[in-house]
Amino acid sequence: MRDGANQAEFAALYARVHLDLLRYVLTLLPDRHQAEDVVQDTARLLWRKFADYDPAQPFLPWARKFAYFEVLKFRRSRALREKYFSDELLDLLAEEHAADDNQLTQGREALDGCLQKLDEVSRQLLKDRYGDEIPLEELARRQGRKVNALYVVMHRIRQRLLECVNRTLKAEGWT
Amino acid sequence: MSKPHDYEELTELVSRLLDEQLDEAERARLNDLLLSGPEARRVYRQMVDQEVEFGCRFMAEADRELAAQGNIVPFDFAAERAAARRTWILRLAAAAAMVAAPVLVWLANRTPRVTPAIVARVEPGRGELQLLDQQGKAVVITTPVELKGGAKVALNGKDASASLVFPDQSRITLAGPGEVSVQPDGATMLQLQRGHLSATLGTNLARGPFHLQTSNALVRVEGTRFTARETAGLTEVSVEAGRARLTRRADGREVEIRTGQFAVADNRMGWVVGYLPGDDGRWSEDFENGLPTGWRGQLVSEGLPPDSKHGLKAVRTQEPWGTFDVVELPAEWNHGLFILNTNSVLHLTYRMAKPTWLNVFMHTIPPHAAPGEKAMFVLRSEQFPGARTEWATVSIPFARFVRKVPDPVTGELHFTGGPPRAGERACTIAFTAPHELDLVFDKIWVTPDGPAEEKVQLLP
Repeated sequence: MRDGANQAEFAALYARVHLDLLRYVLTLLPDRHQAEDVVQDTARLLWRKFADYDPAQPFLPWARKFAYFEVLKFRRSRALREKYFSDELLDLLAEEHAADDNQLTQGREALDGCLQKLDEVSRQLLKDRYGDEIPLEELARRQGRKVNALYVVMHRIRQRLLECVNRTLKAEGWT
Repeated sequence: MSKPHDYEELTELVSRLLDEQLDEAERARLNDLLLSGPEARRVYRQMVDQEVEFGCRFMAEADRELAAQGNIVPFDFAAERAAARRTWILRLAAAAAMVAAPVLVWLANRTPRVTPAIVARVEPGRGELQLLDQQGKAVVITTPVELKGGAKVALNGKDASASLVFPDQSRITLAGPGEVSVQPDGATMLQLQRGHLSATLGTNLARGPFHLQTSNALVRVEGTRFTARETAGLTEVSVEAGRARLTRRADGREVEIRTGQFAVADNRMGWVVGYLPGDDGRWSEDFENGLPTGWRGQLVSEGLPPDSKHGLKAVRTQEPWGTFDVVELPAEWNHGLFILNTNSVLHLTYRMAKPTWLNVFMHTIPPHAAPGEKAMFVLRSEQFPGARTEWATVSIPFARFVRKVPDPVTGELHFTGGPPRAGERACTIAFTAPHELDLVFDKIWVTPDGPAEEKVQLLP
């Protein structure tokens, strides 16, 4: 059933959860490109199954179930060495994801303030890496630095921001 | 919010994972650490979430900066050059601020001395095409001209069209009013005010992202084929190959679309994302959930095959050119309903209580069509509708449709052309006759392959 009203309704729902699905899939399959492919496959599957969706229920949990099965399908299609995590861990990550939803949402808001506190050099590195999508190897070459040194810098930035976000959440009463 | 045991090691391994640096042993160790407790997995989820946020925020920031700078569009290695240039400017500005403010002001205000080079050729089509020089003086172009760095062309008129061809054979076709600028350093700035733009990018342009500015969106495309349409403040972008990130100017909201998707937004609604006609070439309608939007026909619920709740019966329709009985698929003139290939097959489950003849017309968008271009076909079928009154499914290759083409001598249009080509998109199909049609469809569907010859199966 692919009438225009359904398509518009699906598009509106999907546009709202697209990033959440990517976050979820990336947790289970931590490779950006593979995760994006799985999310695309999930979107197609969701559209095919949209007639079964109960509009009285929230869309995201419904969509996540299909995303999970798409991740499993993807893992089955790959050699064992390409599986990032064990099946046991994958199940735990999938199970626990929804429980962290609210905290992760608050964390994203807290990240704004933490990014503002970041020094200019670190901020510029994030901007080059994520805004202009320049690989760290290329950035290292331009800056005349060793790439391993940049990996360490990236790790420190991520860790600093993570701790800043957690301090903010703690101050707001999250445990 | 307690830190898990081995927090340092955990965050370092997750960081290496995100940078795609993990080796097998580290991957196994990370697996063990994450199995060790929920706190470790929470940290991991946070770090992954943070990584996605970096991508969203900094990509939006980069697009906003480009827009503020006049939406300079990278062209031919320009992605790298632009990034390097921005970093260089920041460093230079910081050094200058420390040394002397007047020097900074001078640096900021000076005009780079660039020798214009030929960067593209503009080919006029319909309507008026103007070449604007840097002083804003306009010259009307009637033959192809080479564009130098710094040039701007403007297209005027509702039905106007023109093409920009780059040295790598990248081609951008504009239809309707619009402006395209080529920056002094060879980068392009593309602004679409109204109308339609389609781009097939060659090796050079496809190497870096391509930026487009519309009235309410900034579009960053990585890929080789895409189209954009701007009508009455509504922006629509479709990606045939590649990906595009779209940022709404009003609130910075973003969506990313990929091959086979389109996104639409205006100043009031957020992005709406949809799919272009299935690239798997499948489409179906069985009317089981009632009368779908856009169809012409009357929903019926009696006299149907077993297990069927609804069907669609032909209805009498008054048209300016006569009165007809008709069943018609919902017309989708922009993207089509489904994509055809040379083996595509139309399947119809139907019954005709009073056997008679009828016409089956189809409109399509040909591959690489000019804006608004459509093709028309009629079905030459031996088996449909056929002299039968029982329920049957007929499978008809789309190769049975013939195209309406002009007679080479008289110029009159006749259905004497070939079948639909691969990549052609069907916009609608109409089953129609000037007399009464006691015709009911239970299901209509399309598959990308099937029997090469027409085939009829009676329903049990």
